[in-house]
Amino acid sequence: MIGIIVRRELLALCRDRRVWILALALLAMWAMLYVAALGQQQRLQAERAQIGDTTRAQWDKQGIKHPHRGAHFGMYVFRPDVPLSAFDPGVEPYVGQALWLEPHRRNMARFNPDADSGPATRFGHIVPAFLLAGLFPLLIMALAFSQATQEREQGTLRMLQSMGVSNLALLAGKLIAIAACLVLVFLPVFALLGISAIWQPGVAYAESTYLLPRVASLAAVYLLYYLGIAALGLAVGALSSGSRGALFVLVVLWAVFVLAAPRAASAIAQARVPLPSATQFWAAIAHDYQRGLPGDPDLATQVREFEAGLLRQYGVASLSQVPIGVNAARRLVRDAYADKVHAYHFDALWARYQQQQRLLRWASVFSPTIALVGTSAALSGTSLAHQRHFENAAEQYRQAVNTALDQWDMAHTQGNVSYETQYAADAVWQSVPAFHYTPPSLGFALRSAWPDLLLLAAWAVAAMALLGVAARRWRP
Amino acid sequence: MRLVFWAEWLRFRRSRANLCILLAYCITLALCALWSAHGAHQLRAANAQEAATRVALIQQARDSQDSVQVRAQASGRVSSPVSGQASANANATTDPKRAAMQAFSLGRSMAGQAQLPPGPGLALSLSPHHTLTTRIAVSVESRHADGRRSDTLNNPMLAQYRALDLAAVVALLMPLVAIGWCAGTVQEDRERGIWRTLCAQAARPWQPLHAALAIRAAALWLPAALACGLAMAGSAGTTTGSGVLWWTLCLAAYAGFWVALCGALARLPISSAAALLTGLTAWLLLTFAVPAGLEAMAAARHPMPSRLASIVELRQAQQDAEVRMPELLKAWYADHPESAPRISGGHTWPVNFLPRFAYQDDLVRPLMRRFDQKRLAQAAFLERWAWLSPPMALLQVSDYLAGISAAHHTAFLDAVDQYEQAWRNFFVPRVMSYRGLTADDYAHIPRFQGVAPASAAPVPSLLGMLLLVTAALMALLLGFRRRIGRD
Amino acid sequence: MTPPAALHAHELTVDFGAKRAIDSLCLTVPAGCIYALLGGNGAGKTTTLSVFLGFVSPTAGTVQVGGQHIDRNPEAARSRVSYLPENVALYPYLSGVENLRYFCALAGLRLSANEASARLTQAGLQADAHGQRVQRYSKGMRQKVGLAIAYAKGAVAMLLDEPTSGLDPAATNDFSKQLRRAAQDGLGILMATHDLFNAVQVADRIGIMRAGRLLDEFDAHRVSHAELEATYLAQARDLP
Repeated sequence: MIGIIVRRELLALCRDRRVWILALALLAMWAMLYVAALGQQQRLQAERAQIGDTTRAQWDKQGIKHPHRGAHFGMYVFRPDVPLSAFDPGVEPYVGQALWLEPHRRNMARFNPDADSGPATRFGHIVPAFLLAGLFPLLIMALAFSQATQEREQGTLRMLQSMGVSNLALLAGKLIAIAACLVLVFLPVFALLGISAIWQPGVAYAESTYLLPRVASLAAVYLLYYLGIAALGLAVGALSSGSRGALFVLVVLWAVFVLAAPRAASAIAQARVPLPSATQFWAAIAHDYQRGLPGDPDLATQVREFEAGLLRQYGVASLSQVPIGVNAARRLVRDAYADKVHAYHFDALWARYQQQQRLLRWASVFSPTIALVGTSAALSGTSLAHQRHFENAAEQYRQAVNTALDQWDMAHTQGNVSYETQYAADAVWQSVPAFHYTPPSLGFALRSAWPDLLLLAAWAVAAMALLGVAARRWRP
Repeated sequence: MRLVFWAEWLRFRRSRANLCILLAYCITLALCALWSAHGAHQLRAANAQEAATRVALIQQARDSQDSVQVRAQASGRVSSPVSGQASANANATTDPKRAAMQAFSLGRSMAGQAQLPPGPGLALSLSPHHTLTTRIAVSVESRHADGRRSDTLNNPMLAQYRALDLAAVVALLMPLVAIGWCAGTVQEDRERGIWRTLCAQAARPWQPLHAALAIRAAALWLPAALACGLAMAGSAGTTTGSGVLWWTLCLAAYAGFWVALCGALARLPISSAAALLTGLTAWLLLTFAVPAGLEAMAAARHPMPSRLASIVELRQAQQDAEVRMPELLKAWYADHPESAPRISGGHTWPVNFLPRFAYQDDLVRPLMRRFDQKRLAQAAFLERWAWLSPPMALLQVSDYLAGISAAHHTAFLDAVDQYEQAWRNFFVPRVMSYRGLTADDYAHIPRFQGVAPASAAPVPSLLGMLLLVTAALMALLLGFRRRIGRD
Repeated sequence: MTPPAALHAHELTVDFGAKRAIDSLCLTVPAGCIYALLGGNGAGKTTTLSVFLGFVSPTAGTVQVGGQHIDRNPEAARSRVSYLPENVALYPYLSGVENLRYFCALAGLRLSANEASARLTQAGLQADAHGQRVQRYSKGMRQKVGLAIAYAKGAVAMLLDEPTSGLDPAATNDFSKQLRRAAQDGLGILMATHDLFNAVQVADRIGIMRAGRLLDEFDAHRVSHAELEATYLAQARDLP
């Protein structure tokens, strides 16, 4: 019986011009937006590559300087190119594009694109993923609710029930038909996504095999989301007494899912787990660096102990007699402690980010869109976890570069050498290896997003359960 | 007409659905207003705390210098001061390098805080205060490469969910409620069969429709005006009068716009559900699509320079300044004979760095200010075309009232540049001359004088645009009135 | 000077595109007269009512309500006519009293709750239903509220569209009594109906329409039900 219902529903949907017009219009809009985003991504990609080469060349050709002065000139690393970021930029608009790597200090990424944006982005960034997550559900709700309300308003529900058709079979058939239409409509979207992600310049074949499973996972996740939305639309249509009332309830639900719950959850997360201000954060690092972390002696004591150790090690009476570069050696000790202090505070900051994220996940109870956004960003490689992975890799590189330079200085000098003397030439700068970043695997993305996936699945199940309840209460 | 208003008011208040929507609307606005007022209060408190930190840093530096002086006196390296003025002006330390370092330490500390003062409408637009740079610590060092002195700290994952700004909530929520109350009501009455009776009863069938729209407009406007007014007054104190008035007027125009737009849908020969969807489509277009299009046009007209390319230019300036350090140092002393150094022999860090930083900033500052100029130009473009998107126009008004518009921010950055110059004019000679700071100097350390008030002209202009588009829609409604009742 | 007719149409023609819905209709309903307009589906009865209500504009001819031309003084004409549709639709979340007060207010008449209740009683609605929400009313009860709304307007003419459709015989009888009372109070009543029996019982004049034309008119007091039925069916079979 369900097969018969599904066939009839598919026929009705196929003959409904409004469905085709709406679907095609939205698809066209999405395609235009995606193509524009892709173009911009490629331009940025090219710019990053060029700027990366230029800043590296500036580093390589600093000329003869004191090695520490050269180190302070610093290097820049740039956010990696993520093939799927044109689809879902995730946190990318809100994090800095460039990280300055310098001695003694770990910096935050700077120049986030959102700071340069206008007032309208406060309503939402119009990106392809937002269209799929935020606006397409409206279309699905509008489609689904009318499938239920029209049966009552046209009087056909009474006739169907009199023929012995169960409400559950009827609604299940409608849901399957809608799901089939969704697959038909969204298949081109993800096909385009997959093809464009693989054919981007600079994407090697090896990367393409890493991208295809991601695109397939994205397709599955979005379809799960839409299934839940469709079930919800049908359920509300069946439970409501009139078309307009049903549509209004669905619009309210949509506004809660897409606009209200995420904002409210974000505000509550910020209030419950407040971040320190920038001034407080950096001041705390400066304080702990000078005074020592809890349980550690202060920096001056550590340096004194180191210097005393150095004298003992080389059996000399003064530091000027030490056969290695004392300033460099001292810098290694100070920077090692600076790195420890920075790691302590940055880890604490990221822990707070994660606490806020956990609170946000709780809000998924009120909005499947929150769970979808988290999953989508993770699968696209643009989530907070991916940003942390990159920043940790950049930090490791920074430490390695500065350690290498200080070790070179230590090995090539003796005693205390003035910072005004210049003896490191271009060969020193050029000996620093380039930064190569390997993005994490799909497994990493799934591991970071599994709570969101679980919540999304729970939402879909809950929507089906509501559909079951609506079937029992559906009266002509 | 009064009787018609009474009749429509009876119909409005007896509908459980209308009352539920009104209650939910009022509760949402009230909660958001409370949250915003609290947030605004916290921000002002944080600003005050930062200002206190500044004072504390200066006091700390002063105390540290005093204790050095006492130790120096105790060890006999300096004689005790004998008379007031002479002692106040004398720097007790005999070590010029230490004096220079002390002055340098204070000059590069966070004591040189400049804060953008929030406007009376802070509760309306809080999130830009956390996104944009509103606190900058000037320094004798170059601050443009170092984000610690100016950048804010935010969780980017939360930023992508946007903010619970009161103005944004009103801009999003009010149209949705208007659509729920007004869109498709005539079609629904027609579908139910009530419309013919209504048209037969009323000599002027347009009167009940317009009365219903007016009542709904008032029901939209009053709670929003109250919530926002209380939030503004509660968070800003006594200077909010004109801000509240402007905002209230803008809200009235905004409510009128959406109600008139939904009222115009009554003429369409479509079902009530289709009318609701049409209203929703209009909302989506005006709230998301049109602003995005306008911002794209603004960006095309006034393209923002590349931040990444500016890094290259910044590093070029850094390298250039470093290479020219010796000549810059020599030139500085030649230009400032009054600040001749108290020591003989070579200069080291930080003394030999200061002229380099000044030179570097002379090259870098115009690069960095390009971004603000472009942002200002883009904002001016958006203001000119704001009438195409009333939600965006409302946000722009709220930004002006909150003191965080592009104009305000640019004026703030101009003031910071001036303050930085004054800060350097104070500290750099004291470092370069190895004179350091005397006890008297601490009282004259430059403070940030605030920002020259940005022009308030855009607010009436934006309000005028809102009123104009609303009036146009109302004229359309009035033009259609004779055709209402032709069933 | 004789008062103007409650309803008067002279050479009324209404075209919807190429289709002629009403063709040179001449019809007069004097004050105090109940005129039953009979005709099959699509004869033009409802269109005729819509013209008098001002919902549809005449293509040609003149239409007056209480002496006011519908095209020259539409508001004045509209204020002189009241209407009872076939399915009396009311606001389901308002009670009977509230619906009456609402619709009367639209017509410029302010009623207190007691006055509204009295009018509903006069229209035959039982008192315990006055305060109930209309969504619980039966068809007959809604019709009584509709009649009260139409009657309270104080118009000179009343238009009724299939008023007895779906009513049981007792309700039809009650309704007929209400109509006669209204006519005695001076209202001119035009009633579009299929109910031949009721037309003979309650009307003063009967007209038969077909294809937009008024084919025949009778004095209802001088024709029996059987005669009327025979004439009606003969006209219905005699299709162009």
